[in-house]
Amino acid sequence: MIPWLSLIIWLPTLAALFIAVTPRHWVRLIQALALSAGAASTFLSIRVFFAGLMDTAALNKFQVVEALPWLESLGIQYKVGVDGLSLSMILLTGLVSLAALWMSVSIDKRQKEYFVLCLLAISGVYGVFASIDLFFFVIFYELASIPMYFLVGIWGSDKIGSGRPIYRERAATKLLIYLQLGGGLVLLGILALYFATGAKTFDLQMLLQTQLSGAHQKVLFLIFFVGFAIEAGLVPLHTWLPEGHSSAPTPLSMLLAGVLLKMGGYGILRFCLQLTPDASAKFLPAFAILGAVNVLYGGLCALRQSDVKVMIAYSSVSHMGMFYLGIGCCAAASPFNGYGVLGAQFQLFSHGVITALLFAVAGAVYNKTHSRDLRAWGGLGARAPVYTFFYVLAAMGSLGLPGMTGFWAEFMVLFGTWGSQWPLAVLAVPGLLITTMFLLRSVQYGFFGPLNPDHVGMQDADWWELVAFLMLATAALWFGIFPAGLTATVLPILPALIGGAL
Amino acid sequence: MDFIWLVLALPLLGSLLCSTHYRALGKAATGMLASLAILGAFGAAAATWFRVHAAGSYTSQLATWLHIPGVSGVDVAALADPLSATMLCTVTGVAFLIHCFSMGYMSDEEDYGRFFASLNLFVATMVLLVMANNLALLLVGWGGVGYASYSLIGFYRQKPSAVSAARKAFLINVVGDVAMMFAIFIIGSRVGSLEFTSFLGPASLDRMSGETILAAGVCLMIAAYAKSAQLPLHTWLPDAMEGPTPVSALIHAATMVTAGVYLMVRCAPLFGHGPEGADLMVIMARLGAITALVAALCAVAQNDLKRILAYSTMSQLGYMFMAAGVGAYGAAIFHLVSHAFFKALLFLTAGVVIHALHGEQDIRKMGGLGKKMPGVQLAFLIGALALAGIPPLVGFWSKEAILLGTFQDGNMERQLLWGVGILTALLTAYYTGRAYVLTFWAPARHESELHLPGSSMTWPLAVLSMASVAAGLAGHELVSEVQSLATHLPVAETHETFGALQITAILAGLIGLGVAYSSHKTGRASLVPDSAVPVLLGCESIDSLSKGAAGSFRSFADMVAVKVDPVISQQAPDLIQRSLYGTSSLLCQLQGGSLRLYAVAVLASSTLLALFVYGLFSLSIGAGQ
Repeated sequence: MIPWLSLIIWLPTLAALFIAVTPRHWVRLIQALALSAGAASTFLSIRVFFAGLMDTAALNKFQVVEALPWLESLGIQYKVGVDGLSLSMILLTGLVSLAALWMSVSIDKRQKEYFVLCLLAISGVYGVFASIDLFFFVIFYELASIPMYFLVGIWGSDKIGSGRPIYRERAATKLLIYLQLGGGLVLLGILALYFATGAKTFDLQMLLQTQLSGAHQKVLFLIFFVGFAIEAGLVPLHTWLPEGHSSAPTPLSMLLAGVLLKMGGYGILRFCLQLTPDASAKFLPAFAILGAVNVLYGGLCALRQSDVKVMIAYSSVSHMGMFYLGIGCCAAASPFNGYGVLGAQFQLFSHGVITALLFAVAGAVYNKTHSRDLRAWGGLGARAPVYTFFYVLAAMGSLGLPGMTGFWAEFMVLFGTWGSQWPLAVLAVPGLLITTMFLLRSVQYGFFGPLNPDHVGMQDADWWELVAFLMLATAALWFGIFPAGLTATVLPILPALIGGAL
Repeated sequence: MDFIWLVLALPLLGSLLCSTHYRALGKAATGMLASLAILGAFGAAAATWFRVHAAGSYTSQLATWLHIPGVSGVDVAALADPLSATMLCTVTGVAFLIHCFSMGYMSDEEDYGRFFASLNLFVATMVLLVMANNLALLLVGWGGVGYASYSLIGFYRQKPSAVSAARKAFLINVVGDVAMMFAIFIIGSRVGSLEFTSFLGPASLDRMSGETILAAGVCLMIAAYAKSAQLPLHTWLPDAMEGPTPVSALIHAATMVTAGVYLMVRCAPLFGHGPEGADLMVIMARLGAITALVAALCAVAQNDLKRILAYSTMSQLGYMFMAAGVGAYGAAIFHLVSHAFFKALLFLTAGVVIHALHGEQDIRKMGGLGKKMPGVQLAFLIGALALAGIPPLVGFWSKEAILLGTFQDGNMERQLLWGVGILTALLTAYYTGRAYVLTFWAPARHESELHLPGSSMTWPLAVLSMASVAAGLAGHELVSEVQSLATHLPVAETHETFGALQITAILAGLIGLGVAYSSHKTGRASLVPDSAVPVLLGCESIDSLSKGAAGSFRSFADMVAVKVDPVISQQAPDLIQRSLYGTSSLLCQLQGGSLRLYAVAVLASSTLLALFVYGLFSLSIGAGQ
């Protein structure tokens, strides 16, 4: 039997090792190695996804589990597998990471170190979503976050000009401090869990069998929630996001917004909802108000940004608000409470794909124009129809045009919220309008209107950029037209998340 | 699989091909392909219409779209009944003629691929909206129409005013989308089904409480008002004239603004249920009448040919909503269909005129075109007479159906609504006549060489003119026929005899036209004194009101982004950082190399340690005893 999941996780690391011993001026070989490893992982993750889709009923338990004993005395082993919660996350990582690697072709300095770090981070992200053993969860978590510091600090860009300046070293430091703070809390929570259950194991499957007392659940819930919320951009812990995302090189912005943010959301679903259901039912409905705040606050901030990447970063804050709203209905007394959680999980996928596409286009245009200022772009539609098309497509997906993935996420989240706490759903409505406003504003200033004479000679998308755009756009449209492909994987595990049958 | 899906599939396919293969196809072939796609859709729609009227309504389900426990009816399924079949035929038929017209009109454009792709997409989304058998699928069409209109209104991308107009239209449409989404939540969570035949059935409606019906009805009405440009969500419609003229024709005749009327008629059982539904219908009728009147007043004060027509659409839609509000659903749909024909005719003719005058849209600078373009003049005249409601044109019969449906003996409110309708008819005849006279009869006020239309632009005009005349001549028999065919809802009791009511309406139309002719035949620009213009432009004041609101909202956003956010994301972390540095430097001073400090520290800490040990001892001794 072939260990598909382990291949998905470790192929990028393997490629990183090969690249590490390749001479640095063989850039083409380095790129080819990185891309082929990324493509292989992505292909396998698509394969695993469809294999899971064939037999959705079994997805309430971990599938394709692979285990190797490691430190048995401490209850640590290498154990990976997927269930309904993580299956679509693996697919998301596959899509976003490969698109990010394609966009990395434009990186023009120190490619060797860049690809090594980038591939290690991708391995880490896959591992976070796939690991069943919580010790390895922490290891993978660190593997995903530490390289970000170097990648942002070395290959990032400064923003000097209108507004307050953002320096990449500072942004990288801030990003790492926040991620480590979150990671530290998660580690603390996992250790507390280890002792609180008394099972003396890091195996999630066994931990899920144990019963935690009410007090333990509350403490653990708070530790996990805050730890993961730092990563998933909860206001006021979101502040690493705008600086980090805007300073990062394009592929990194895609990875950060596309999958790293989702690690936080996934962690909340996995740890808070699944391991501490009683405490979640107690706290999360109250925390849903934070979700509404996120939606409005992120939107209002995005509305006034002239830097396109900062704007997209704030839009992520706004969209993650939908996630918090959705999980807020996890235990409401309404028969429709499941939709909220279903929509929240959908939002993780949909926002990952769509925001990665937005960042990809914005970053590609930045490479060509050397400006991130929307007003300095001006009328690019006349010169770059491909960029324009994909940016408008991503904007429409992001604002939730019916028929694209973003719509279904919003629809289900608000449906659940309406059923459980209708005032919050009403409160989120201005957020939807604000989202429309800032996205259309960015389209208008950046791509429509008279062409800025500086960009008369601008080239349209390169072919490798087109590949990245097409991958992400296809996913955003495909699951908008066939939303059942995603919901079917989550439905089996939904009862475990909302503490009861639908 | 039923051929009703061809109505959707062909325009979608056309849109895809036009957007990807326009270079290989070339200009003429791209336009031809787009038009043929719509022609095919029209054929399928007509076949559906005949099948529905031969064999009754049916539902064609392709798949369950989204399986969410507790709510059924989120399916990919089409409902073919007289209402949707009639709408499909109208939409595709008028759209086909507009497509053909566009081939000539847009022949100078560079971006014809994008134009025809968007045009086809516009039709496809409207078709989806009309044929959906549940609210979720309808919402997809609803949003899609909004997107397609965004891309077409802002077709001239390099023009900032066009892009702003497109953005405004889209934003207001999103208001409608959100309202529709909430209608879905309300209905879905109470009834558990989003399918029209199921949640509009009497059993489901009985299960809904009065408040639920009120809330769902209000949400549906907001959605419809945003899409159909009714007060107070109308501000996008006049601005939407920034798009190319065929797009305006499409928006006004077939694919966009009629969606709201369709939704109201589709959800008629909801509004007909209980006292709350009745309340909503009263509001709908009153708002419809007000919109009709206010928009007509606004049209009187306009000088831009396309804006006059835009306001006239808003006014005619007001009639339709009034009809829906008084329960004359058949009349509303009849007027919708006839309006689609003559308004498309008027817009396309206006397009020819504007094309001929190299983009001039101000009627004060036109004139004398009648002699040079007699055919176009005749087409515009037919459209104008239909709009003014002069028999025997089709506009007369449909407007009469609404007015007769509104009038009720002994009901003061209904008679008042009828009166507003008559007054609006008078104004309509006047401003239509004014536009016609100033454009074609009055002395010429321009010198440029005319750019005469080619045959691809004129034959659609001929078809539309003939349709308006022929349908009108078929006349009175058609009225009740279409009403019952179109909806299968009971036709409101009307006064069958040709009596005082009709004569009043005809007189109103004639007076309006007469005034327009006598006062504008010399080329006099306006009958309204300048001081009265602001009063007439009442409904544009909502526009400035919303601009003011947007401005204050923007400053609020500024406040959050510039004042609040830096505090959270910069100053608070900085404060933590500074306090950590401060603590660190304090601690550093402990090891600053000062011998005296070390001595004090040694002394103090050894004393403390001694005390601590002593305390421990005494405690353990105490515990031992």
